[in-house]
Formats: sequence, C-alpha cells, structure tokens
Amino acid sequence: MTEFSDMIRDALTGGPAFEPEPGRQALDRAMQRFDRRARTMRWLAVVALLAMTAVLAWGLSQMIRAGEENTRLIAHGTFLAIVGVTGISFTKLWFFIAQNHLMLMREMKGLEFLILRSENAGGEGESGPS
Amino acid sequence: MKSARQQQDPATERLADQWLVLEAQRGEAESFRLLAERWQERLWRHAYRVTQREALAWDVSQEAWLVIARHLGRLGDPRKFGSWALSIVTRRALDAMRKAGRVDALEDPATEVLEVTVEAPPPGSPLERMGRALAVLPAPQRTLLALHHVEGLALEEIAGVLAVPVGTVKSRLHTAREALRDTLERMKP
Repeated sequence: MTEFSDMIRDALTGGPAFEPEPGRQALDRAMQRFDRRARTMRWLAVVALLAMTAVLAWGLSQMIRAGEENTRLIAHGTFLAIVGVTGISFTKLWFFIAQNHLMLMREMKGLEFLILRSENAGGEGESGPS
Repeated sequence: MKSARQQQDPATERLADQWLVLEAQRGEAESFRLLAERWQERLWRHAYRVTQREALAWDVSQEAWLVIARHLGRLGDPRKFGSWALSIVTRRALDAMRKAGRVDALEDPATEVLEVTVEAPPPGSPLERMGRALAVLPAPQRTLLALHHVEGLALEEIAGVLAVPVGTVKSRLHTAREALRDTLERMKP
C-alpha cells in the first residue's frame, strides 16, 4: 500500500518545468487587482470621512443660523447626527469584532516567529515581523 | 525562491505563510507578492496535475490568483490558506476540464505528458506506466489522488476542498485507487 502510494506521488510529482515568465505575468495581474482593491478601500474611507464631515458642518451651520422659531430643525439635526455617529460606531465595532481574531493572531505569529528565530540560531526567515 | 523555501524547516515555512496572509489581509501589497511567489509554482503544478495540459494550467492558475487577490480578506483562518487556495485551483481546473473536454477529446493527454516531462521515466518502467495510468484516469479521481498523495492534505481538508462529506472522500479515494489498479493491470504487457 505504501509503495503504491509512493508511486502515485512520484508519478504525479513529475511534469513540465515551471516557467517563471508566464507565471510573472499572471502574478502581475493578480498584484494589480490586489493593489487596486486596497487603493479603492482607502479612497472609499477618505470619501466617506469627507462626506460625513461635510454633512456635519452643514448641519452645524444650519443650527447656528436657525432662529427661535426653528428649534424643530435643531432637534432634527441633533437626532440625525446622533443616528449617524451611532451607525458609524456600530459599523466600526462590528468591523473590529470581525477582524479582532486576525489582529490577535498577527501578534501571536509575531511572537512565534521570534521564538523560532531564537531556536534556529542563524536561521533567517524570508519575511516576518520587523 | 523554491530553494530558499527548502532551506527552512516546515514549521517556519507554515508560520511565514500565515504571517504573509495576515499582512496581505491588511492590504500589504508586498506581502501579497511574496505569498504569491511562494505559492505560485505549487498551485500551478496542482492545476497541471488536474488538467494535464500546460497552457490550461496557466489559465487556471491565473484565474485562481485573481480570485485569491479578490477574496483573501475574507479568509478567516490564515492557517487554511493552502487548502483554500488549492480548493480554488481545483474547482477552476475541473471547470476548465469540463469546458475543454469536448474540444480536446481527440487528444491523448498521456502523450502530451510524456512530451513535456523534463525527466521522464524510462519507457515501460513501472513509474512510466503509473504516469500514463494517472493521465487517463478521470480528472476528479486524479485530483483526489493528487490532493491526498502529493499535497498531503488530510481527509477533512480534502472534504473542505471538494465540499463533500469526509465519508464521501474516503469512498471516492478508494474508488480512485481501484480504478488506477485496474488501469495499470490493463496496461501490463
């Protein structure tokens, strides 16, 4: 059984030589997509922040300019601001909870790396925590 | 890159991969590039094992990397990157085989394997016969054998890759081995 398994593995391990050039092209396309996605997320965050600031500034100016007869406008503005801030806070909290284990894991992996490095004297990892 | 990988012990390799996944999930492009360089050949070889066609394997691996780039952020456990990436390649490769099946029906995949193999075993040797037998095996069975015997995935991991229960993996693996034995018997001179 073991010999049979070894033979399967050996027969499947063979194949054409890996050509790095077409591989690089494939990788470049994936990199571009990854980069674009990361940049889009960053821009979306900036745009959302700017939009939120603009709305708050507009609301504040409306409240300052409102006379005594417009107290309802102030109440609406305050209510909207509270809803907005609460919504953003909950979104951030949800995101933090969803990603929290990854942050913890990152810290743990960093520690594991340090331990492995100290164990393997002279062993230099290709990458790791700086 | 490959030789650099081989110098490291497996624990460090796994840890490095997990670290790179976590960094890439934070949007670090350099980490994603390193991760892709480390896994590129392995994923391409898996695609080749399934499709048995070099050009098709490139198409599959390229598509797979685009999917990985898009969905890496959703991977909840960086330790599962390997089986996750292999599952993407497997699904894409089997889809590509289904699409290309009718077009390439007249081609003998075994011939192509022998033509492009760098260090082909001597003709008539048990390894050469095994290679031919594997090449004529249906792609899903060859995939299963590759995941188990070459990639070294556990049955549970294969079940995750193929989205089937563990019991099904066991029975399919048994069937694939039996089919391979039968093919080898028929190939005996």
